[in-house]
Amino acid sequence: MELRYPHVIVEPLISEGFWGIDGSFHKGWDIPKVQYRKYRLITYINGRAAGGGGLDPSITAGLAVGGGMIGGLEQSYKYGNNNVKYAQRVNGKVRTPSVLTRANQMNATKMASGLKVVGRGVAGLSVAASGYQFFYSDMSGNDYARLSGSFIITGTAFIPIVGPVISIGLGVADSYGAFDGIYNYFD
Amino acid sequence: MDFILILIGLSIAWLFMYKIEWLFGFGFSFWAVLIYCILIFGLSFLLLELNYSNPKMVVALRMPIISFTIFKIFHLIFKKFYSRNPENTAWVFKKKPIQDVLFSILFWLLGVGLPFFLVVL
Repeated sequence: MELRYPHVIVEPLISEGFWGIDGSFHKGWDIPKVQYRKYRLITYINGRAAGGGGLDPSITAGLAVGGGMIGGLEQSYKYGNNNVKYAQRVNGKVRTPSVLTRANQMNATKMASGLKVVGRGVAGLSVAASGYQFFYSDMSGNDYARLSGSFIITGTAFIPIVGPVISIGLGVADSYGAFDGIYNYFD
Repeated sequence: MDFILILIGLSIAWLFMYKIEWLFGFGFSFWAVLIYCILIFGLSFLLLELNYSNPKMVVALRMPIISFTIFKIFHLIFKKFYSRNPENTAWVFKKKPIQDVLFSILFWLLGVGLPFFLVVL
């Protein structure tokens, strides 16, 4: 028997056996070390199975991309022409190279530290979104693996210089299901 | 509301990101954070008793005290070896000592990540 709702499919368990972790049905109850559940609840969004919390994958992808844009802006303000423009906008027309360099450094530091604050916040929100999905899930091996993966991906942002770039790349890939095969292995 | 509970559960992670100095030492900030963690921890039991909000989410309020304990242990070990406070290396684009990087990553995985799994046990 299968009950269907607009976004949710509930698959009740047949009482004479259980569904194995490979998706096949086993008769009887004597097969050891196979985890079974009373119900398997799957939430589908845009045709993709979500983690159970109902968050669209594009939300986490958006957070990762947002973080990437902030990182890019930070680099731009530190090393690029925007730095010069910003210094000129704040300090008026700067004429000598030494004054220009000093003004650039000061303003770049201010801007970079401001953007770092936002970048860290985006990383925290990304983890909060993953935790939200985890708490709403049925706590299967898949969900544990997915949350662990999320922490590993955001954890790479702690590697100086290259870390945020790696984290963004992995985060976007994860949001679009690149690691689903690995996560499903633990289900 | 559920998402707010998660954000509160990540309190120590927010402090780690923005006000890491509040987590060092044993002065006023230590006692303030500790009392906050204990109050939040107790509140989780109260909310469960009152059947308020989603019980799956309410347990997130128990995470800060676990995170704070793990941070203090890591911090004491770090200080014993290097005689200084560690730095948070998240989103920095400058070279940092490897011990600070390892501290940050280990705390992120064990101090912020592990409590998610512990509170649902």
